[in-house]
Amino acid sequence: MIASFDFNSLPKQRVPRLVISPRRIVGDLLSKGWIENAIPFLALLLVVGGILASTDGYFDAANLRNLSQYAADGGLVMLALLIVVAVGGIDLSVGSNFAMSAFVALLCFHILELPVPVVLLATLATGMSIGVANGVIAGLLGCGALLTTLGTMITVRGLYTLLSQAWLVDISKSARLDDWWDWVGFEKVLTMPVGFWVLVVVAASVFVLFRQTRFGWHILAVGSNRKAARHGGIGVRRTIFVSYVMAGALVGLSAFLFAARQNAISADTGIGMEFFVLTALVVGLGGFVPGRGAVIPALIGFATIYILNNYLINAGYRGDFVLLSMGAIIIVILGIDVKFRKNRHRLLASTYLDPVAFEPAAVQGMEGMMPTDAPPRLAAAEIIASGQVDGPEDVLLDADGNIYCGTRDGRLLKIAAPDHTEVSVFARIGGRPLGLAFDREGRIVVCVAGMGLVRVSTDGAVDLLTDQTARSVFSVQDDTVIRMADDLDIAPDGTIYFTDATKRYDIESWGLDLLEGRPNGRLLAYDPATRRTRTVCDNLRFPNGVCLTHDGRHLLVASTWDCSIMIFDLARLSDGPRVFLGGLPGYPDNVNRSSDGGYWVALAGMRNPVFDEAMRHPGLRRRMTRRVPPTNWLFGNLNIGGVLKIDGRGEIVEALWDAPDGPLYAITSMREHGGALYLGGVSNDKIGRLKLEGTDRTWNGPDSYWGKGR
Amino acid sequence: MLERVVAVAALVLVVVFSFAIDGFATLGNLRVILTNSASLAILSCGMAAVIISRGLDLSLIAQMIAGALVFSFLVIGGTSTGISMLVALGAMLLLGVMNAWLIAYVEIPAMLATLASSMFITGLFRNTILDGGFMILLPRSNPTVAFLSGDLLPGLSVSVALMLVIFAFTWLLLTATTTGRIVQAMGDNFQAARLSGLPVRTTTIAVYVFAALTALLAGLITSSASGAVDFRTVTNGTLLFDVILVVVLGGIPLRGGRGSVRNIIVGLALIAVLRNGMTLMNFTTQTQDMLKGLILIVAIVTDNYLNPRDAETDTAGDL
Amino acid sequence: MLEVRDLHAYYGKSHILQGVDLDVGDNEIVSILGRNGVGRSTTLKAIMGDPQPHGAITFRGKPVAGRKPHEIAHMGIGFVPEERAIFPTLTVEQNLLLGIKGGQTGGRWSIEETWRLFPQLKERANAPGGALSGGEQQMLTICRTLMGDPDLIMIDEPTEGLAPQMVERIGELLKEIARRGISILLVEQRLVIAMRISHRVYVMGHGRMVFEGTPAALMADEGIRREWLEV
Repeated sequence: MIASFDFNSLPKQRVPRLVISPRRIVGDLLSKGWIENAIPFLALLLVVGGILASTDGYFDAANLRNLSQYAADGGLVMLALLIVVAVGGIDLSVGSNFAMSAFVALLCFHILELPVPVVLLATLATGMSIGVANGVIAGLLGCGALLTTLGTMITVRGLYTLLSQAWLVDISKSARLDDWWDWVGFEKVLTMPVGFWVLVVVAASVFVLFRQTRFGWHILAVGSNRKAARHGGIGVRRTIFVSYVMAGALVGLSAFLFAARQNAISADTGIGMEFFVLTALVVGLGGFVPGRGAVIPALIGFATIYILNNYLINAGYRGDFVLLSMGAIIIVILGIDVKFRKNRHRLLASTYLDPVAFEPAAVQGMEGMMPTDAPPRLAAAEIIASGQVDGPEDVLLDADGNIYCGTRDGRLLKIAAPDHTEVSVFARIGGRPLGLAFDREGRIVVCVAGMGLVRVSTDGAVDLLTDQTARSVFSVQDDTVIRMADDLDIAPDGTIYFTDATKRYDIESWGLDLLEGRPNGRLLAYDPATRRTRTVCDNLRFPNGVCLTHDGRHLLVASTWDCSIMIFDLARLSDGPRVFLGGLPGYPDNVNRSSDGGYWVALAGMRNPVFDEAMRHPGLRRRMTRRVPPTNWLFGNLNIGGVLKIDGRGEIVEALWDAPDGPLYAITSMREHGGALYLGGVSNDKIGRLKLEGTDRTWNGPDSYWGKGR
Repeated sequence: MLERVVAVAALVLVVVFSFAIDGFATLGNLRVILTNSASLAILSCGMAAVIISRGLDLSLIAQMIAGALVFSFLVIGGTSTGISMLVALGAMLLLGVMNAWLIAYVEIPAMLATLASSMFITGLFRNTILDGGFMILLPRSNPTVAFLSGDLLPGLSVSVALMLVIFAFTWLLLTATTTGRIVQAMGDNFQAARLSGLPVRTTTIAVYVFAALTALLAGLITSSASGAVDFRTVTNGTLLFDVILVVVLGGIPLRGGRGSVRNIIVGLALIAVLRNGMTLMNFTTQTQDMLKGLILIVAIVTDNYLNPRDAETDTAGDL
Repeated sequence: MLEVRDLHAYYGKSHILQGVDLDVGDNEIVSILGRNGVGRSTTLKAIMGDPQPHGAITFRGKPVAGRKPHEIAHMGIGFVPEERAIFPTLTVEQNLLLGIKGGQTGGRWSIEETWRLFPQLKERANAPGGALSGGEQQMLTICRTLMGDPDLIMIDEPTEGLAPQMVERIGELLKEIARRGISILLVEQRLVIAMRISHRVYVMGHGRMVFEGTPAALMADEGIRREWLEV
């Protein structure tokens, strides 16, 4: 009985072009990695905005240049501190180091009258030697960083005061001029001071250090988990030592720039610098976080504190008011940041679920075939491979009658014909294999949830075909990854059509997609010739089973939560789908061909009036997920279902139901082969086989698709 | 143990100074040492309690000056001593609670919270009371000032007596009260203390308030002795460093968990004797600072050698 | 591959290991069983250098005792401790790549394998390690250690606190590891899984080995089981 349908007379399936929901945008934003740095960035925007609003010309070119000139000093020292904090330490001696190195620079230039490159080297050497002192004590010897650098801070400060007092007068009397010295201190390159460019280059280098270099990763690893680093073969003490030396060098560099610009030092030089820079770092990173080499957030924090401080001073506020404000503002920023970071995940968890109201069409076409109308025919099914398979979501048979099925732990099993007693591992894939199909060459193509599309050749070798598609334009979340590849079918030209059931949940939490009820899935197509994947139709409601119609020109796609089956015209995919059969009494999973020109549809669960009603109330579902434990949620009945037979026109002609006490539950797929129906379930540990009366006993799937005698 | 090394070092210094410096080993000098150390000792008690609970109070000196300022300002303005004292106590209570709230409830790490509050306190009090100035002078004629800078008994100055009282109080607090036990538990293993139901938040408040009150007392003593309440004491940082030195050299680890008045006394002995000796030898402030820094480094290296950090219990947050 | 003779170790004054003898051969999975507190974890930690081992430990003929942990790691011994030893602020991918030792070329394990066997890890490749669940962190630690291409991997209670499904996967992973020629020394509390995958087992009591043999032999010896294993 081959009944055909007229595609153009079928009702159109409404597929939204865009899914816009404020809650979803907030939720997606919150789940992004960089949102951690939202608060410092907001603080910077507020500061800049506040200043723009209350002053004139603070951000004009001349002042910006000015700002950037002085910023280089603090910025470089902050980067030094970032390196030390990243390795899990702290450096309170940076201020004293800065002063000492600046003194050495001025001494070398004005008193010893050494050439500028030598002055630079001497300054760097001074900074590095203090770094070496810190590194030896806190790194190689393993003493506490806080007290070590406190000690060096006081010692170096004392030494600096002694030495600088002795030479201060002579330095200020020196009239030595030098072009290079002036170039460092005053030259502008592309209208910005040299110091600014040095900061940019160093910031970029530190960024690359932590992003790309092995040593940078070692620093982060030591800061992140010292014990694990040691076990992992990283020389912890050495790494800490080098970090302090690097930091010392950066401080020396900063002092060199300072000396060339100011040409003077005083007893106050560098006083409080360590705390200023520490505050900037902490505001930027959102806390004292060892193991993070986040250069950009740190610079944002620095910019915020620096601009704020500078503005307050230049606006004529008294020193005490500046102190008061800075203290208060820092407390506020830190407080909000700590709270945000702590509660972000809770906030995310409570906003991620984004339910919407929708109503599947009322149940129709089931007169006389509902479970109450007839005894459950699946109770008579034979059981195959009981206890030897774990979660065969889909079952596939080759022409010889061997059964193939996926398991929960990522394997593809083969159950040999004709007895179906011997189970062997055909391939190890990983992930969660779901839908299966044979291609023309007899290789098995598998949809693997959490992975993508995989092809297994006849010798069991596994080949990942695709795990990504193009990113959709309007999605905040990066949805290139195929999150839950569910079922597939292969067109005569070899194109593989498969569904990504939901972009927002994975195999462990797919139930939440039902509670959302939004069209989160899509139909994809993979072309083996060009190896390219494209999204055929986005925004479908949990698209699940895929089946090529008998005429080879249309594609049936089950929409599980819609309780309907859609149909696509392969020649005019861009026209979108139409509704082939709506108002199913349950949730359709896989769809496969039958021997008489019709199709089998597995119903993984049954609708019930209570839940259908709940689907009309998104607020109810959201409150339910927040307040009620999952075991008590309203849900579809997923522990009982059955199989429907539909004809080529899309009318239901037969219904085979589970018995409530088994032996089969939650049927997710069925395959007809040689006059019997083989039944798989995503949570079963067995496969069922039901003899079908009056069907073609020579019919099987591969021949139906690819013809006999391949 | 570091405490023993430091105690021995202090004794050695006493012996050396007695021979090397004229006028060191006199009773008069001993009085000077004790009197000069009184406020440092009192501050150290407050800081020690905070550190044992795994906290840190970098705003202690700012609180010290602020408390003395409130009292002095009111007294100079004509308010009675009793009321002025009450107001000052109230102010310190508020500051201590503020610090504790930031650390226990908002959960900002102690070092950062007290760093910021130090800036805030300094700025606030200079702004509101001093109108931008740094200091005010205290009249010697004020009875409280006279009392604090005078003698209780012949040979025992009031400040030293107060120091002994605070020692006794701190000793009782740490060894004989539940709060003291909880303070030690918090320092030893904060998570375990919290999870086993100990009132860590209220204990935090108690500890920071205690520190604030010791700061007030120390501030009153110091201002009475010098005749001035000066915020520059905060910014030059030496006093804070001395307090931390006393606590750390005395053998109280920065990550807390253990410590007693005995540690404070040992640390104080070394620092007080050292300060006195260096002053008698006319060392410049800078030389004194350098020496103090070097001594701290020697102390922690020695401590690291005597008690090597156990890799098993080495936690990531240990600075 | 690994030979341990008369190993003693102390925590302070506590004499935990009182003369442990142990062998692990090529391509073997060896388990150390025993009650809590007898010193099983300490044995692994002592081999790794911390606490200081006293006794003779040779790995591929070279002496191990007295070396620092990171040197021992470079010799080809990987250690997966009981606490999840991941780097919480680094991403999953960085955690894995950091497992590759400096100067290492190739290896029996690659990052693609990890992605293939654990798609949950792949999905979180750019998430910080600290955001993973306990089971995922455990997988991450084991995979990271494998990236360093060790010849011997010592694992302390890999299935502790994990759901049964996760326990199965860890068991599968361990068997896969052994198939690739990496030996495993396992301390495991769950007797069933240890017996199922091990080639040989030791039973430890009071700081030394009281039984050595195949799982079948242990199952047959009720006396040993009753005295040293059962409660």
